[in-house]
Amino acid sequence: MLSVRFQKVVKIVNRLSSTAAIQSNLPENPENEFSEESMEHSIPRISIAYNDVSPVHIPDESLSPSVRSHHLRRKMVEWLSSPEVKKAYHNKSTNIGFSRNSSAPFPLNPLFHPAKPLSHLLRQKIYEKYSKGDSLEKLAKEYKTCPQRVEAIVKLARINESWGNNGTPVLESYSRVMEKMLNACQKREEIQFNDDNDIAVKTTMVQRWKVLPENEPYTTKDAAKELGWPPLSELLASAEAAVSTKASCNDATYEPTKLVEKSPFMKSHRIYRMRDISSGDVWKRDIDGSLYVRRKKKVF
Amino acid sequence: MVKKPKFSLSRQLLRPSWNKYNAFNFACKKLPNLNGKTLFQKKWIAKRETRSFHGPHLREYQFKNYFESKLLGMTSVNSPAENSKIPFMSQLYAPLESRLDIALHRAMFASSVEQAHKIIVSNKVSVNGIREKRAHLRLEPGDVVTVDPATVMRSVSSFKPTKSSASSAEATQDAQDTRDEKAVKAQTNKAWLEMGVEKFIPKPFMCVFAFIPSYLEVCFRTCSFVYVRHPIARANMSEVPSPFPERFHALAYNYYIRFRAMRQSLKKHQAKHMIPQRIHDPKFYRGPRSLYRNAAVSPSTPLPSDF
Repeated sequence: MLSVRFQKVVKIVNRLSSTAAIQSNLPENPENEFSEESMEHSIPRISIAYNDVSPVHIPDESLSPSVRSHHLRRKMVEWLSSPEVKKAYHNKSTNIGFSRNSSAPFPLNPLFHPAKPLSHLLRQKIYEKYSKGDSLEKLAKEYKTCPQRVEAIVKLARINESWGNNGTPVLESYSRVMEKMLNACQKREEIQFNDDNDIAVKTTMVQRWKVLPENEPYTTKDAAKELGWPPLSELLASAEAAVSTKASCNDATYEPTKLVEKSPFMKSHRIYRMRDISSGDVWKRDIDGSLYVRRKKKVF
Repeated sequence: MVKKPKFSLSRQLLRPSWNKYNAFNFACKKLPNLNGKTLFQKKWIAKRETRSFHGPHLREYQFKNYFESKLLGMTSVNSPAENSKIPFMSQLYAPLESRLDIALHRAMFASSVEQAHKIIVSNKVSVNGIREKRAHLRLEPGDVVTVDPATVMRSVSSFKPTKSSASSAEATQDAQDTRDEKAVKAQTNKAWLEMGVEKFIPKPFMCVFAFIPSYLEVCFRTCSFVYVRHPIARANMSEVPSPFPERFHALAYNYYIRFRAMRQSLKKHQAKHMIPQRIHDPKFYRGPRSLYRNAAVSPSTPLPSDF
């Protein structure tokens, strides 16, 4: 309890100091070791918009004649010599932009606010879970994205692995700097891609009309039948079922795995899995050549 | 004929670049005043402003071939907020974002779209493992793009790499033995790579333009990215990066809709992309090829997980 109160006090102090910093154009606050949340809040948003920047007066003598004569060039030279712009010129920090109030990259378009990208750590976690056997749909639900993004993550992780195996040097400093600059998500809770519940809406090129008398009832189910499209409830149910059937395979319906044969001459770099449609058994040829089977329990 | 300057301070047109003049224009930018203008003037101004940021290296006839009159949006299953609107008009420049050179710039591997174009044309980029020299290539969802890391370092760092004592000794020896251009090139590439591994300094003003759009998944360690899906408009959110509000895109759309009869390649492309999104489920939709390619990664029927 004491630590929570302490954190709150720390946050208030940081906000006060951050506003003071903006007014007096001081550099960033000194680092705070108390919590990660207060760290993020403590980095004040610096704006390099022309109206937000602290004005710098440059005497006429120090300017070149071309700059002195042209008012816009002069404006630009003054803008470039202000402390905030000098920071942006050399800086790798996250909280520099064109507006003080919004975190959107383009302040004139507030509707464009891209999600924070994933860090390498998170991607590795997702890839580890995938390689242990979780399906794309299950991981997508867990990490609040679409299965296509999980597939992309898996592809990138495989490229990373192959680079490591070949010995080509991975650009670690570059990725560290970029992840800090982009404020990449380190934890699963920070992910906000907004594409986890994408459901397709069938669009026909031509509008379809149906003439009905006034009192005839017409529901979404009838409309779905007309379009030849399953209703929303069914879609949701099938999406959930795709995730849950994976778990149900683990328990009673299948017997434990059995090793059928060890054949080291059948080594390959691929794992082959087969499902026997008639019996429901699942066969697997592993990388080292051994053949496993998991038989479905027969229900009499 | 004298060309108008790209980063003019008086015209104040915004460009897809990290150039300092461009940054200054962004800092000073005020939306042009459309009051008292005729409808055509409004459309023209909107088109001029938005096209200077979206595909300025394209000719007008090339952009008219990219233009699609059908703009796609997406709504989520969770009940949307009452005042949420889907900004359909901001999808005007969405087909351009699948272009390889523009996607490369969005993934922050090039400081401008022109530089991305040069990187691709000089054979440094591979798409799905195959070298790609066409900068106009339209990426499909699921495509993996890899860029040569030394080239990325060149286009994205502040300073040239300082030669360490060991490499400079080797360099002098090599220069004395052979004046081989290839050896010199290999050494400079190595120096750039070392900079990426050990000490990377970003280009000026890169932090101000730093964002990754939601439809890309970028891995900086291996200098590769995946084009996850086409950008789409959502409730209170647009995925196409643009510095202009939706009303400017709406006016530009109204300018280009007159020319829809001129486009021959459009109908082919629209037939291909009729349905917006497809969930990874084979029972779900049978029909024309969708936004998402068939995922070959996981089998369609579930298997026991510890197998």
